[in-house]
Formats: sequence, C-alpha cells, structure tokens
Amino acid sequence: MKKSREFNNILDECLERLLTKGETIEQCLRDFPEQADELEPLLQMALATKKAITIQPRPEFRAEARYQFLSALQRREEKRSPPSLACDRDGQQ
Amino acid sequence: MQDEESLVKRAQQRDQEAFAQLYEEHFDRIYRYVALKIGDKTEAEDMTQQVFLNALQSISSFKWKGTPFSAWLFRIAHNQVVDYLRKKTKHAAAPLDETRASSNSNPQLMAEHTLDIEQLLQATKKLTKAQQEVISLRFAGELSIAEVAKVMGKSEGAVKALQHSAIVALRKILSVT
Repeated sequence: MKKSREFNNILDECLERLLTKGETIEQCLRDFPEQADELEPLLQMALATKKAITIQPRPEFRAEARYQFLSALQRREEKRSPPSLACDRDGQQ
Repeated sequence: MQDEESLVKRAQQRDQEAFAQLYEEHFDRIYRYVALKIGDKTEAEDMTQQVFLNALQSISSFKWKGTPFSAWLFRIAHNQVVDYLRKKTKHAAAPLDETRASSNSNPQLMAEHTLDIEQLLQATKKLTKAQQEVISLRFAGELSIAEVAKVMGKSEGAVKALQHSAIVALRKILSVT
C-alpha cells in the first residue's frame, strides 16, 4: 500500500516535469533509477496521450465564439446602464 | 501575468477585460476537455461556448474558498458534459466526427508515439468513468492533481492512484508492448 502510494507520487512528479516543465523521460528516469523499468512505459504512454490530445479549436469557431462571448459581456453591461437611459428606451418603445 | 485570484475578483466586479482574459486563458483547455469527453468536435464547440456563457452568468456565485477558478470552471464543463451524455444515451449514438477508417490499436504507431485523437477517444471509452475523468482533466484540461481533486471531490492521493491505473489501462487497451 505504502509502496504503491510512493510510486503514484513518483509517477505524478515525473508527469509534472514532462507535461508542464518540458523535461524528457530520460531526465525523469535518471532521478528514479529503481523505478525506471516501471516508469518508462507509463511515461511514454502519458506523453503519447498528451500529444494526441493537443487538438486546437477551428480558427473560425474560435473567432465566432469570442465574438459571441464579448457580445454577451457587453449585453450584461448594458443591462446595468443608468435608470435614466432605461427610461428613455422604455419611452421609445 | 496577474494572479488568478485578483483577475477573478475583477471579473466578479464586472471588469470586462478581466473576464475576457480568463476566457482566453481557459478556452482551449475547456474545448479539449469537452472534446475528449464527448468525442465529437462539433458538439464540443457549441458546448465550450455555452460553458463560458454559463460562467458569465454565475461568476458572482464563485467563492474563493481554496477552490481554484479553473476547478470551478471545469465543474461547469463537467456538469454540461454529464447532461449531454445523459440526453445522448436516450437516442442512437451519434458517430464521431472525422471518424477514420479504423481505430484498432497499432502497437508500431504507439511505439513511435503517434497515437492519434481517434485512437485515444476509442481507448478512453473503455476506461472507468473516474479514470476517464482524470485523463480528461489532467491531460486535456491541463489541471494539476490538486485541481483535479477539487473538481472530482476526491483526495489528491485518490486522484494519483486513478491517474496511475488509467495510464496502465490505456497502455493495455492500446496494446503497447
């Protein structure tokens, strides 16, 4: 139990180093020689997973979504406009 | 870059620039998380957009009690994914977009680290729900273990154990030798 908890911690440390700090598998394995045999295939799998998952939204979608979001932000602000303006609008309707 | 807490506070005070910055920082990660969870890029686009609109509506309810903003945002995304999948199971399963001819495992490709998204989508379907969630949040959402733990309501130790078992399972499913 304790051993597996320790391995889970080591695996996570290596994943942090690989995925967020850009270190290599070899660098991680050097620091954990006793666990290297067990770690290596898992880190390779993790790296392959990360590469496969790095998909990007379509540029057209990104632009459209951004526009919609900023419009929603703007509408939210307009709802908070001063009461006098709201009265004017009501009056026009 | 400003720290997230002050950015969120400004966004809660209706600072448009602050909210736009939060949007930019999380957009791609939310999209990847949703896409991996539902396996449909077109639906993932609509849902990603809705996640941010929902966040905009409810950001005033966010309380900074040790819960990172990203965990709160991913929780919104998670809830939408759950709703979507619940509705989808009532209907015939829609095919994945950009489906390729075959998603069978390919050990040689794997050995060269060229696992593609379609293979990964198929493989993750065979994981447990909790394993899927950890892989989606950790690898697609790029959340830390602490953030994943917050989103899932589990301890960090439990998330690390799930992360380990998920990677082992993926490796088996994809027949890496």
